[in-house]
Amino acid sequence: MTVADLGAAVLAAAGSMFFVAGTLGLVRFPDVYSRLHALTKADNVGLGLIVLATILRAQEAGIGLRLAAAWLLVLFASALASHLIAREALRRGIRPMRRP
Amino acid sequence: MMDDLFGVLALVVGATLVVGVWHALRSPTRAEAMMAVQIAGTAAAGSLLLAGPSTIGMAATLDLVIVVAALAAVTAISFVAFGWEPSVPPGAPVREVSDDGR
Amino acid sequence: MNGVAIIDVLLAAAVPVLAAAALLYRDLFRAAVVFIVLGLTIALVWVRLDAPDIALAEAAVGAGITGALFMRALGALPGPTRSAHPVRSSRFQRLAVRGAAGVFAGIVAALVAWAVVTVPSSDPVLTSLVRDAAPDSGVGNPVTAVLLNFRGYDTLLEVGVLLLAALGVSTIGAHRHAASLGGTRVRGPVILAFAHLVLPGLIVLAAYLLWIGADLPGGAFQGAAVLAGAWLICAFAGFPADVAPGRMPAVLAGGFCIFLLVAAGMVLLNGGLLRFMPATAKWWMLLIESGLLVSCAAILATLVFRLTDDDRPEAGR
Repeated sequence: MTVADLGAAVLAAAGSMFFVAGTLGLVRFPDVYSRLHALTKADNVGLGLIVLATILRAQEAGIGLRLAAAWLLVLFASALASHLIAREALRRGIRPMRRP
Repeated sequence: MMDDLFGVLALVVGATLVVGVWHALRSPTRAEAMMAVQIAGTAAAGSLLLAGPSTIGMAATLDLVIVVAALAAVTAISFVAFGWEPSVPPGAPVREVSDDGR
Repeated sequence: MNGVAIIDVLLAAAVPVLAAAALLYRDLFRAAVVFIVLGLTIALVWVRLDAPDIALAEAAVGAGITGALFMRALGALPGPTRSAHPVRSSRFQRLAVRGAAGVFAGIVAALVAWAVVTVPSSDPVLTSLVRDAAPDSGVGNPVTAVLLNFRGYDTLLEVGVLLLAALGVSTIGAHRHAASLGGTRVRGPVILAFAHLVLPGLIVLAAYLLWIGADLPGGAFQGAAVLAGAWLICAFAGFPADVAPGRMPAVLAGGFCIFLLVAAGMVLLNGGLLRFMPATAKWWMLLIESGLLVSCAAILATLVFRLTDDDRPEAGR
């Protein structure tokens, strides 16, 4: 197994762990805002790590650029979606939890 | 062996998709149900990147991931745009309606 | 067995569960969400079945455009609960209908199961036929070769059906092409910034999918779905980008007309409807596909825009 393969494996595993963490946050956090927060951040970091792992697997610069573009697209889309959900939830009176 | 590892990781990410969607849909508010689309889009992209290159090749996987990301965005926006309960049912007197209409 | 195949276990288990959930959810909104997730999962299934073109189409249409369509339809349903209302009929009637539906579904399921069990694991005749004829088709991607060259007639009629759907929706749906969707629920600086950042890339992506469809997975229809998605983002953001109402029929029908003209032209040039010569086939197909890209995008967008009248007014906004 080459160094690149090892690096890809480690990065992919870490990325998957972030996905698990995001889902854990979704299950355990008390209100919709903190859930959105955990979900969006953790899932996107996880995806970024998986993207890095895929770049290492491919070992080509062109592929790397396109993968980075895909990740940026997901980032923008997730930011937009979570912003829209949170804003509309606020407007509808779902109040953030203030004390544990 | 790399394939095995990436397969297992794709399984893990796919499992987070299923668990996340199921949990998001179980909640009584629509706001949380809308998160399900976001979860599904990001996790599907992750699974694709892990499981795709060995099956259909890197180039096809790349294009697919970009398309999934873009269209998941469109879907998420449309869910937020149209999926809410109206604050006041048109033509009815104002009354207390819980978020899922029951 | 390929090491990645372990994910097939999850996919095989998830698809029927998601499908059942989509059917059984009382709240139609949640049922629609499950359906979209099902679409994304099936796209993964297509990937595992080594069918990237179909995966692209499934992801673009099944997970993207369908979501917008469902939500649009949901917004037009009457009643505050928006759940499946019980039908007013006698108990016997309901039982009879359900019994008949159950019997019918059982027969269909048995037929499908029999078909799956008896199909050979690989089809040597068809695959080798396509593979032998592919070099003469003018393109390298066998899917595109089949769609536009060997079975071009089918694709022509399918586009006609799409056009009919758009015309139908235009006739009985909203009176005018809504220039914006979703109202203030999504409008704002964030979505505007998103649109500015993403739209140029999406248009390039659509054209790219069209171009590489010749030799790699892709094609006009997938590009059209992406372009329709970009169109929807424009409308959600309140971006002033729309086709003049007078020109819309031309845009909708243009792809089909180009297809027809090329088909007729081939009668004059090569002696048969949609008969291509290997040397020039690629360029004719590219012409057809370009027309289809724009037209199918317009058709998909029209289905979403014209499905219902304007959005429900929000109280106090």
